Amino acid sequence: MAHKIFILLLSTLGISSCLSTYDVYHNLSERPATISYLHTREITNMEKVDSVRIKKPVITDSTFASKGRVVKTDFHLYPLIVFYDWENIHDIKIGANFIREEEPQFIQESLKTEFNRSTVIFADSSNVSDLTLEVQVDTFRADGLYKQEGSILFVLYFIYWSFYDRIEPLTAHTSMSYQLQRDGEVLLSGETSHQLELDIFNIKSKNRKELAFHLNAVLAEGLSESIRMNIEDITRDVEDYLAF
Amino acid sequence: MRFAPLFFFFSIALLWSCAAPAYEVVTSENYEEVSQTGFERKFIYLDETLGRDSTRERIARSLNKKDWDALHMEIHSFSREEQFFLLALRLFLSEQYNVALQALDQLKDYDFNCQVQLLKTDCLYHMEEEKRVDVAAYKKKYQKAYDCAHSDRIKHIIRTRYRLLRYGS
Repeated sequence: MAHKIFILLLSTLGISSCLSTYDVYHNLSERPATISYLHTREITNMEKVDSVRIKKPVITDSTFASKGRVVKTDFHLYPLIVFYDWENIHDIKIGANFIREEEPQFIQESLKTEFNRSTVIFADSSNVSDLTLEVQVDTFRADGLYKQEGSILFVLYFIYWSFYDRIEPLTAHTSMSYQLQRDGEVLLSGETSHQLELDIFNIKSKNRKELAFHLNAVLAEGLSESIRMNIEDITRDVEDYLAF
Repeated sequence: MRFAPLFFFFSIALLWSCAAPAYEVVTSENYEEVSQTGFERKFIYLDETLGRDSTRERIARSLNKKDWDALHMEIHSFSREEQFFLLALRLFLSEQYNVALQALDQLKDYDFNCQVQLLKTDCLYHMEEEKRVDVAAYKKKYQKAYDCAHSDRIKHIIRTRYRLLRYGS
């Protein structure tokens, strides 16, 4: 009887370990998270002094794929007859299918909003101005580790178990280069980059599915925060050049 | 064995009492202390304009404990707007979002540090049947409340609200 339980447990743990990568990926892609953020700079009531056309940005970061990546980087299992302990580690990288918005369009809209809210420059995507702002997203990534741990202990007729899923520190990094042009002539160019170590938001997850959604939300939030910082830098630089 | 049902109900009651409330009413006096403990929550802030320190604390306590009799004892001396705001809070915390929204409509969006605008958005959010709400639409409303608010504390409360929305709470 005991050896049957042993084999059953071992095979269950083995199969669930194989399925866990698919499971994590499925949970992450099922509910894409938003990268939209609250604009935090004050609204200006000053008169607009110039206008600029914002072209749709291009993401050149080849590591940012249309599909997010979930890779198992470590797995161990200690089957010690009366005590089982295992750990499963996945490396998660955000992809377009984990994000709700279409990224280039979102960045374009966010740039327009930031210019129109907080600067003396009017921004639009139509051809009303001879000034054009081209933005290229050179780095666009957010990644981190997802750990699943568990143990089972048999003592006589009793079974003690514990399962624990957690998110390890995550990072988000975006960098952008930009060019302000008038009739093809480059007036201003620059680069901006922001990398963030993400705080794990102190929020309760009811189950694995929700934890995966929260993990996705952390990654997306990190991306959106770094996008916000880059956009604020770009709008400040362009405003400084054109208005002062 | 005959105590099993009793034990079961006791466990459920214990779990229920441990669950953090979704919203918590805080005052200028206890905000710092409360906001740094436990899981992230949604705060409703009673600022210095609303009565004296001790009165404000009693109101916050009665709202959190849903002790409506105690609340009514306190608010009779307040202005019409303040009474409407506290009535709206009572209805909101009782999860009567539709009626709370009607009470909030009696006030201006920028009243009470723009929390009228914020609470209206919260009411609309809770009235959604579908839990996967249109985050973009709510972002616009939270942005409006954020731009309206002048206090850093209220701005932080609004940012946390929006963060929680992103996390599906």
